[in-house]
Amino acid sequence: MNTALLRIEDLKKYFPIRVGLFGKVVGYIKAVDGVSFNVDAGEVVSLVGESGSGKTTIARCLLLLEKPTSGKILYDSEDITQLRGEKLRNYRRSVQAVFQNPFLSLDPRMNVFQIISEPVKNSMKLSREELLEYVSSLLELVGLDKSFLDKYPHELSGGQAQRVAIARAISLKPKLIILDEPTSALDVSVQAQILNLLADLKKELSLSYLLITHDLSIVKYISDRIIIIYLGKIMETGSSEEIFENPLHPYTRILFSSIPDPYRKFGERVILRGEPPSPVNPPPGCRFHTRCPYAIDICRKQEPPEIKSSLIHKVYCWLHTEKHSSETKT
Amino acid sequence: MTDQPILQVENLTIDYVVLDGIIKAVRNVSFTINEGEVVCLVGESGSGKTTVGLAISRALPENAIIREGRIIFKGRDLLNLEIRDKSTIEDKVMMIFQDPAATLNPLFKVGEIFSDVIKHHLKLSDQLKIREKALEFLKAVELPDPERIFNSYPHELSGGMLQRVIIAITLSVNPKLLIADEPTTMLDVTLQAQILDLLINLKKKFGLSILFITHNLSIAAEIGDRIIVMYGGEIVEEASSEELLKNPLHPYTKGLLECIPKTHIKYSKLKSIPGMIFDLRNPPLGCVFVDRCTEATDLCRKDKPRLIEFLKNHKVACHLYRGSTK
Repeated sequence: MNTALLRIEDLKKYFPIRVGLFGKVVGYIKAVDGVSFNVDAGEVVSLVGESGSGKTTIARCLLLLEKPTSGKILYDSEDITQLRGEKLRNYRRSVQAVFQNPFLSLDPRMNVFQIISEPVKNSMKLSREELLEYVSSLLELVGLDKSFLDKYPHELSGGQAQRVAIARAISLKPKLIILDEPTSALDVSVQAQILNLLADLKKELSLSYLLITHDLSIVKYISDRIIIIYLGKIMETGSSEEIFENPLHPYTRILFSSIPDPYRKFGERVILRGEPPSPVNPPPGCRFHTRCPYAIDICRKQEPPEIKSSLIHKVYCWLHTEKHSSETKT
Repeated sequence: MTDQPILQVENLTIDYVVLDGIIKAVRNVSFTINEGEVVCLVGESGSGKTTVGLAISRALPENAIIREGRIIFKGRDLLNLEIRDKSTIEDKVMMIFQDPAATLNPLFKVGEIFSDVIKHHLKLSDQLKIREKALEFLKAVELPDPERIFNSYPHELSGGMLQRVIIAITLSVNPKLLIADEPTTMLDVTLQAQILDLLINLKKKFGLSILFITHNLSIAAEIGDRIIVMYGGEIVEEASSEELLKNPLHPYTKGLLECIPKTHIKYSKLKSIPGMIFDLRNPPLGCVFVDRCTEATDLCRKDKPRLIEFLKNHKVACHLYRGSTK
């Protein structure tokens, strides 16, 4: 568990805003602005944030769909943007992804066998029979039987289609799977099925997950570590228990209070006012200060430092420095 | 809240004619909504909850056929209206949808869409008055800077703002019943909380009754006075939201409650309901939930349980609760 499989160091991704005929750059959307974390082997790390927090951009950088503006992404201690040839193929094999809407990520003109076997054909030398057997075994792993082999995506329900997408993701025996909102498009009863499946597969195939979601309620059950991100910056990170039992950052607390809970009546929660500010001109100081109910003067001027509450529980918030310093004084 | 029903749905049965058969989307659904009440229709995909909503606002697609039933709104049957009555009723029942971006025409500014609605429904013609009215409603839905929003195109606004704009437009025609079809599903949790909060405030302010359609039982429990659980086109349980959560009777409702990930409990395994919904072209002879139910018996396969009032104000359609009717 101690070796970092994936290491992200001060990752930044700015998208230029271009105007006019010659595409003059007038500004940048700072989608990801200096994010560092790592994913250890066998670990499930969850990235939690609202739309526009940059969580999906991080995933896209990891999948080499975007080139980072600066910062490093190290996989097995090698910078992935520098990988070439066999090493690059190797990286692509070991990092796979499952996306939110399975009907958009499965080719409607291919049947389930073709969908799952396509990546396999390219990287493993298998005969037709072996391939069929391998694909059937993958289907079994995700809880579908052989009868699904010649079905097309439109014949599947949302849950079944997501299972096929998962089967395809594990077909190349990856080490890390990036799950981008894997259950947001599904019904609750099916969401629970898919989360259980992911937890089982992780154990069986010793996978690591980077789970990206805006829904804190599904995170606790599956993740080891949680990273709360807002407007391209990390607000708080810690083990799953620490974040759930002792959330420190005001934003984390508000996220918790936004989760609908059937056993709580309406009105018993803090509701966050307003919407996230634009990432083109993020607010100075702490990025959350414009919506933070506890913001003090310093929050508006200076970026908060990293406060360690335990070995891995870190929060970026001025409120906790205050408390911290007054506690140490007395 | 008075106990005067504003809407009565009786034996509603709706089919969709598709290429390879007939989808029996809604079968024998009956319920009422009282004045000032928030009733939540809860169900998964394919439960028929949206079809019921569309039928009440008379916006069913052309391939839908209402086989049976009556929808009585303020004493008048919505399914047998004279043409000249239609426009007056239309103002009183309004519906908002899941995807706010798909609801507004992208070619028009918010202000133009808004003015059109006000001009048509409130019979106003003075541009200044129309604008004033629109700004008033944009303010009522707690939008910052209504002037700017009035002059914006839909693509310039975020999902949460668009949903607020739509709620403002909807309210401007002074409806009595608002049908909200998954209005927060596309939004982030923080925005979802804002919109729910807004709907509850507006309900009080404008004296609305709300039929809230959702797949999320947690949301239903938070905002609903009463919850109706649907499965496969039929109502399986109905009770006040407190009662339903404290004492769920139907195995499906129990399963749904167990599926919700709760933040204060440590899990080793999340509960789920195995299996999936049946083919709606061939609904089962007996209970709709029989294939996924752990307590199903032979009787459940053969005989369809009727929706009975098993406890006071708590209806359930399940053979487990037979015999001991109150």
